[in-house]
Amino acid sequence: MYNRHVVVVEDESLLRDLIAKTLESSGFQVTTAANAADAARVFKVADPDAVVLDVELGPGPNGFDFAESLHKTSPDVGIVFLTNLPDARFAGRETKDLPNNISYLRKSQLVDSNELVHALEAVLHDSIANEYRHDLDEKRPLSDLSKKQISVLQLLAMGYTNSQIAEKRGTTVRAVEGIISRIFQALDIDVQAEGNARVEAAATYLRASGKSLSDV
Amino acid sequence: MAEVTFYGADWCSDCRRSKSLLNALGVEFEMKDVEQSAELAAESEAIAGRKNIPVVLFKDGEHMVEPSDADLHAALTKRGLI
Repeated sequence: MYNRHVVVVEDESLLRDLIAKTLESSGFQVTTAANAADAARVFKVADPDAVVLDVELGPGPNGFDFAESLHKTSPDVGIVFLTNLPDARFAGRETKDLPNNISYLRKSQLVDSNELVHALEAVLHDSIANEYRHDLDEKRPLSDLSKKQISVLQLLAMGYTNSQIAEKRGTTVRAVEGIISRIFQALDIDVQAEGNARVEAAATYLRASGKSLSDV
Repeated sequence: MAEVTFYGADWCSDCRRSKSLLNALGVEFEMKDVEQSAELAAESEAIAGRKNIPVVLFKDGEHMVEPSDADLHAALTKRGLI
């Protein structure tokens, strides 16, 4: 049996270890990396066939940045994104900017580790099915919002005021107000109703991007 | 025997890279998928002396294991295959 070599890039150490063990028990040779810089070093010495790649990797380049440079230097390496983010727009990218031969798995949607193994096999054999493209699922959170709306909602959730958001985006406060008003509409948030519409929108964003907010 | 025999597998990134180069250069080759049978895997290992793919075997008996695109290109040029 020939060794199929996979690099696992994941910033959470427990999860990284569990993914590595899962893949090893399925016959893969695994090397791990905790961030994009680490992964770039690993790629220089290892010669992997595929990478299982988290998107949010802490400070520095994210998984999409790494995938972009990887695709330029080694387009034949298969990519499986394994992330909390519903799609590329949550990291300021467009889905169409991603390479075609990828799997995109949302951690919350996986029932068991076999799904990861199957998605990896699919990438290695160039037989990607839609079931391994969670970022194309119409039922994913905030699928109706545009990339611009998601980006503004993200800034809102980070606590920025409209004028700060306008400054960051190089636009006017009035334009930001218009975008936020359309976000509220899309999220079905009634600004006249009791409660804080801005906080409700922020909470919706955080839930969508995999941060759990429990009721108390 | 073909001018170029290629031992590889579809999951192997280096095999994809080398195959892409051969295809781009219009070089015909006989594909032997080492996943298809233990015999082909053993054949590849016997030629390479190790369990690495791709193994590119030329009609003159020489072979290359996991060649870079530049090395493969030079080997094809040397044999007048491109």
